[in-house]
Amino acid sequence: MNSQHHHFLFGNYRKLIALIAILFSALPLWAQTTHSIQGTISDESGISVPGASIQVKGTTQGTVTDMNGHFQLNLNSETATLLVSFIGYLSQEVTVTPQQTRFDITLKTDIQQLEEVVVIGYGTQKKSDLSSAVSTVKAEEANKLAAASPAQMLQGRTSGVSVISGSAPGAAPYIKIRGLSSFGDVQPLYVIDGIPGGDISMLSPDDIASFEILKDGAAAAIYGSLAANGVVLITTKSGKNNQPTRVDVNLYAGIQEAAAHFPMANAQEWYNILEQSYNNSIADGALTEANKPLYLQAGSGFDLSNYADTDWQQETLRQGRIQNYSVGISGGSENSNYNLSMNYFDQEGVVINTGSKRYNFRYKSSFEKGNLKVSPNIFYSHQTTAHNTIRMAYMLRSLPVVSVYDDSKESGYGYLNEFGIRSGANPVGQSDIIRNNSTRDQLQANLGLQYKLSDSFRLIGNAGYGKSFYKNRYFFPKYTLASDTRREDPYLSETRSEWSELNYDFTANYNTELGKHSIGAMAGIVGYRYDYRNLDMNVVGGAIFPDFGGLEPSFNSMQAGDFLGAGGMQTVTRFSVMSRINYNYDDKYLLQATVRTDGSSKFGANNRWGTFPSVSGAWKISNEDFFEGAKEVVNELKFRGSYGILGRETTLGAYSRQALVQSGYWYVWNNTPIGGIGSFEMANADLAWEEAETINIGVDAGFFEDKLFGTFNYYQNNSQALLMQEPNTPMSAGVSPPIVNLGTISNQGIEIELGYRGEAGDFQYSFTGNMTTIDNKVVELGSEEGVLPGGDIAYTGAQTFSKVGAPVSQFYMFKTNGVFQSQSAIDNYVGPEGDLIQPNAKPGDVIYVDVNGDGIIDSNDITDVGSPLPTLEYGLNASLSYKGLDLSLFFQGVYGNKILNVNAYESEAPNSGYNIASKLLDAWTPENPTSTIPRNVQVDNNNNYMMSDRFLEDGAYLRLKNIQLGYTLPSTVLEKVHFSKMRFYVNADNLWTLTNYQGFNPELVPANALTQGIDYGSYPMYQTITAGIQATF
Amino acid sequence: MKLYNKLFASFFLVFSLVSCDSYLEQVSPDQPTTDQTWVSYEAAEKYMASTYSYMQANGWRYHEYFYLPQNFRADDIHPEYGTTAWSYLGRIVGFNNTASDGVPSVMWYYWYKGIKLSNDLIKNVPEMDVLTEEEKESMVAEARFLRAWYHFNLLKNFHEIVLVTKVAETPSELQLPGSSKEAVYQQLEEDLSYAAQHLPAQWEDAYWGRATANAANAYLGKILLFQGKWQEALTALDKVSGHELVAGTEYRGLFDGSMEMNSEVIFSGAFTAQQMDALGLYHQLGVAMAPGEINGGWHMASISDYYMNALESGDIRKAATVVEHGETFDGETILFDDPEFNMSIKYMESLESITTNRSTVDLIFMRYADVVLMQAEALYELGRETDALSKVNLIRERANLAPSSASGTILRDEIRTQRMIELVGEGHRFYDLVRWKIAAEQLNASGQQYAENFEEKHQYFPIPLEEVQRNPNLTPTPGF
Repeated sequence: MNSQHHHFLFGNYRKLIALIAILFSALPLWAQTTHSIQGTISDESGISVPGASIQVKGTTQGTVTDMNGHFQLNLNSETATLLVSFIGYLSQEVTVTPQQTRFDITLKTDIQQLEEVVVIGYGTQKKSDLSSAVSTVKAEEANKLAAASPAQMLQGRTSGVSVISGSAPGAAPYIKIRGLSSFGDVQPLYVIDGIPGGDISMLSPDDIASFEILKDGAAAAIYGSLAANGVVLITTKSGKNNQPTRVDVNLYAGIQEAAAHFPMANAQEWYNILEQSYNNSIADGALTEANKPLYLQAGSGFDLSNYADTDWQQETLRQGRIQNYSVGISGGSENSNYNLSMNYFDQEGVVINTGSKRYNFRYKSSFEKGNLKVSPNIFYSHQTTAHNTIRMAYMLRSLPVVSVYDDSKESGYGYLNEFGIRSGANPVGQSDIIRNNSTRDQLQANLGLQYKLSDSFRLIGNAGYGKSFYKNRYFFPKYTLASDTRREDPYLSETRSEWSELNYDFTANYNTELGKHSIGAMAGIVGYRYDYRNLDMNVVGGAIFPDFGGLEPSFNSMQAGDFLGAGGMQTVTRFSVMSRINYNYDDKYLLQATVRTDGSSKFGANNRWGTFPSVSGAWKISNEDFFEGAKEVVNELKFRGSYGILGRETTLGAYSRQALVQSGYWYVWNNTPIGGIGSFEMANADLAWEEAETINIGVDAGFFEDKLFGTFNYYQNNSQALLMQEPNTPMSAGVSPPIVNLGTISNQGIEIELGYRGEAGDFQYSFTGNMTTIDNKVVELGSEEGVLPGGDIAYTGAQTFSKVGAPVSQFYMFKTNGVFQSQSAIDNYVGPEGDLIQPNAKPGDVIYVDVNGDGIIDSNDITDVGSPLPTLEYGLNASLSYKGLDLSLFFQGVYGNKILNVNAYESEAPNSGYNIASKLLDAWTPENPTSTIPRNVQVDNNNNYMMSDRFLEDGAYLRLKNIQLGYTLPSTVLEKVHFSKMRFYVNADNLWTLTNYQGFNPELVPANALTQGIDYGSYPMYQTITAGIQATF
Repeated sequence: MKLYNKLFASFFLVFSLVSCDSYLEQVSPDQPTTDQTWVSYEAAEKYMASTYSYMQANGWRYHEYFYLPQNFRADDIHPEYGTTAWSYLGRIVGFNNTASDGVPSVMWYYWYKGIKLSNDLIKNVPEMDVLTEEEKESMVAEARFLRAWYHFNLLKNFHEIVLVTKVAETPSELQLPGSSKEAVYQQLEEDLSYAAQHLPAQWEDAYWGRATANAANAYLGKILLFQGKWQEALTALDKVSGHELVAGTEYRGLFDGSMEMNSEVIFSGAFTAQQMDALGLYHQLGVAMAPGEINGGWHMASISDYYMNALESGDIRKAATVVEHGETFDGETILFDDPEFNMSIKYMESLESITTNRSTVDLIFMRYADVVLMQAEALYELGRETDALSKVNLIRERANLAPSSASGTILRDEIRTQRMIELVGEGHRFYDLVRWKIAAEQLNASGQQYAENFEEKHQYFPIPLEEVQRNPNLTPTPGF
């Protein structure tokens, strides 16, 4: 869609230049005439080019063409060389001889300049020449969002890309391309400035110029075994040759606030619900008055009014500040260019004591000397994060009768263990006392070398070395935060890890044109080495001063304590050979083929090498002669098709194929700790590559000179021999699940991107939208039963299962049908033999559906109740501008998925020992018989509170991710202050959400592929409001 | 140009062909593989230490996942609201547990880990050339003892279990069918007989806590007793030698950590205060059993009135087992909010252990008193009442009680009552009630508050749902 954008701008520009040129050509010419020439200048299709410049080489003499592309020039001499140029076309030299006076010159389109060029991996390509599915996101579209991370810039911008940003400051984003295609890691490969394997959360959004997303097999195949999850190519900003020095500044600041509040009971509500639950169980005969805890017993002396009424969410959530400062300096001379950028980003978390800061520095440049081009690119990033040490699920359910602070307690934080009330760890105390901080440093140095052997033959080499350091420090002093949460001694743990990644590639590139045939070929090698070291050490007790006397705790100051250490090392290597051929006939028919062979040290000798081929083709029907008549309406139309096989190994650890022995098991002989060794691993020498077979059929079209433009793709992706932890490893086997190749998943669907741009006077508008449908299915699984259970949910076992013929990670749960409203409803709920299906039920208890009809509710009644995977994902953008004002809105949404609200499950049982949701006030009672909330009991004989589809909710949402209003100062004002651009804006993120979902946030980062759609409410989603300035001078 | 071409070609060839396979051969530089482990006696012994470590868990996990299901479901100890207020614990003691309940699955998970490590030793030790035949036999015997110990605990607790005697070597061997109780018992008898034959009767002090031939015989006797093979049980139990009942004056020392190594204990689970902060090799039974008013206890269970009523006056075991309102413990007078509360003090060493949430008293799995009472039971069932009476009177005498002269079912009940009084809080009572088929009766008789929920199916836990979900050879236990 961006190439059209360029056409559009270019079109206007051309008119403007023509106008200026004509004005100038009306000026009288005083030069003496010896040789008068004239002619027309037209483009390849014969259309005249107004405003083209005709310059006599070596002089200041020249002219421009008129509205009809006609020119006339009186030369001082009979021989001369004319330099004919016009923006968007290749400049031409024409020799003037005395005999010739008429010159009809055809300018050739400068394809490089006219057409958008996209990065495709080990090369670039004109966007219009793509035969595979590649999406581009330009920073100028996406950086309006006050994006905390590059991932946020991608969300909803293009079809086929699902993005969920981790909500805690500094948390990793979750990105998947075209559906869930593996049981293991589904994160795409990130390639930053040509170097694979980068971490995008370390980048500053202000540094990014564009994203290219390689979605189908043919596009991604050049990355072979790294590419099965799709590839995101990130190009950072660079300077341009012959560009005067320019400075870009981007500053913004704002606030963030948790977007939702989970309605928990206050003190009185808690008391009433608990009292009701005990009374109901006593009425059932399940308990006696004596079983009531003291706080509910008359005469115990308990008085609720002596206790606090704490809203723990209020106490632990806050308004956080966010600020960002970026400065970029760029420029270039004839043979070199540079870009230097610095960024500081500071985000306070919406949970107390959390936050993240990031400092970035990048220097990117390019030097040319003759045929040699050298491009160094140096990047340093430093990130510090204060992690949340509150267990949020427990925070929500902390008892309201506990006061936040209590001077009578040793640590100064409140807790209770009286009258039968035993509270858990004080969340505010947890956050204040327990410190968990990490820092990360990354240094990346890349060097690109390019040597032009001839116009058609180039050698290119790239090497990138990245070194990363991670440091985590976890400390707490001696504390008591509850009767069951106390530490007798201070504890300090430090983790250090460092890893290096060396990437290098060397390619030979050949391009030539033979008449209408255009051929490109590339062949090369790629190498990779990863080295990792880590060290963990912790110490308990032994502090020189028990309270550290205000000193920093360290291993020195705790030297008398008990020390434990661990650490190790890993190396991964990879080597690849690759080649690519492009063929273009007459700019109508395009063909591309690639093949890449990868070897990886993660595999045993049996299956170390994998070969990944792809082929794609396209037909630019709009360039056919017969299409000429339709061009007024359809200015561009291209059909594409591709097929490719990609590999995947990311699920594997460095030594997954080996069964390693671990230490760290302890037992006691003779009252002395004995350190044991043991292994629960299973060796697998036959591990092989995962393979993803992908098909893509697409159409790109532009209508009415690209006012309306669109892209359509149908995709199909079969991932097979999937690497995963053998999920059918029963506990009785005693081993950790071994990694095996197992199963096939297919994803298919369509992607549609549509846009419309227009203007009415000074009012300009554009609307773009994209949607992706995803039909995910497990095609085949290793075991006969064909079932893969997901992870345990809140100690209730697996609730998600992946079965053949159904989507991955489908919910299988007990199914409910409201609550029994009367005894007769219970009596009439009978099985085939006439026996009561729920003999323990009382009115107000949950009705469980006897799915298999055997008259008993047991684990055989667990059934399919929905999918956590959206079937439709979409994004909508609107940009409006009027003179200096601009307004943009960006909506994003998903449809067709379910979410398991674990917070609801955990907070809706009065016998849990924790606080409960205030909605239980409205539980079923004989006086409130229409309630669908089961009655409150302590002895849950009907298992009302067990995990069931009662806690499964519709996960669809439509969210206004971003709205921004900006004002750009007019140039008349700017000239006075010597700025070339200045824009002010206000911005709001996540301002409005339309959803039926009751939990914190329907945007969820899944625990793993097999356990999707589970909301633990671990860190609340937040709304952000910022104001900023963008300036250039 | 030609030079460049040549350079390019040779560069390409060198990288792509020559260096690849050695470049790609990477093995862990610092961790041994399972094949590299079996190289010395010390390495095998370290493997053995890990094999013991799954008998128990540390910290809160022990009382929630192991102690609670094994002790809070019978007539001698009743759960209190420190247990019942937490739904996942309340369901276990309230007999409305489901197949997906976490508490039994943790036992299942831990014990099968122990079995896995035992099987590694049993397979690999015989192939270690560096060991003498004697060392091999002893080590295999120890591993087979542990394998039997883990399986027996599973058998006592679950409706159906999987007998695992071999470590899966390929993914296709991971899922095994369930085994009949007879088949499991058959294997356990073989394992324990082998262990009894090849283990030392006693380890030197540095290895206190490791399985002995006496422990093997005692457990062999126990599993035979559970099967009602009275004569065989007696034969095995009679082979236990070198152990005796400690004197009545030393009795409390069995349970307060002051005398962990003694002639009565045959097999125990060990904890230690050494490197306590770093390794956390402690449990929390002290704080778990105390009520909130006693140094912030968690009020999880109490000794039942039924138990208290069974005590005869003058029984020295009362003071070693339970503290009543107004009695002295650890030098202080103990006053409860609820004067009727009876605090269990088995494995509670001090008031300090409540305050700090840490107890390091070893947990006794098998002691000579159990052997004597099992002998009494076997003798009684074999009709040798006089011999049975003399055994039970050994227990009574040590407890400072007059000898009994009971006979017939009164003698049987006396043996059972002495078992309860003697072994309360040591993980026996519920399983005894089940094998005597009087669990429901006794729960009701003792007034356990959830007795009416108890059905026949609650004698055993269902196979954990997670196991069934991952092992298609098993079917869910009906009714859960």
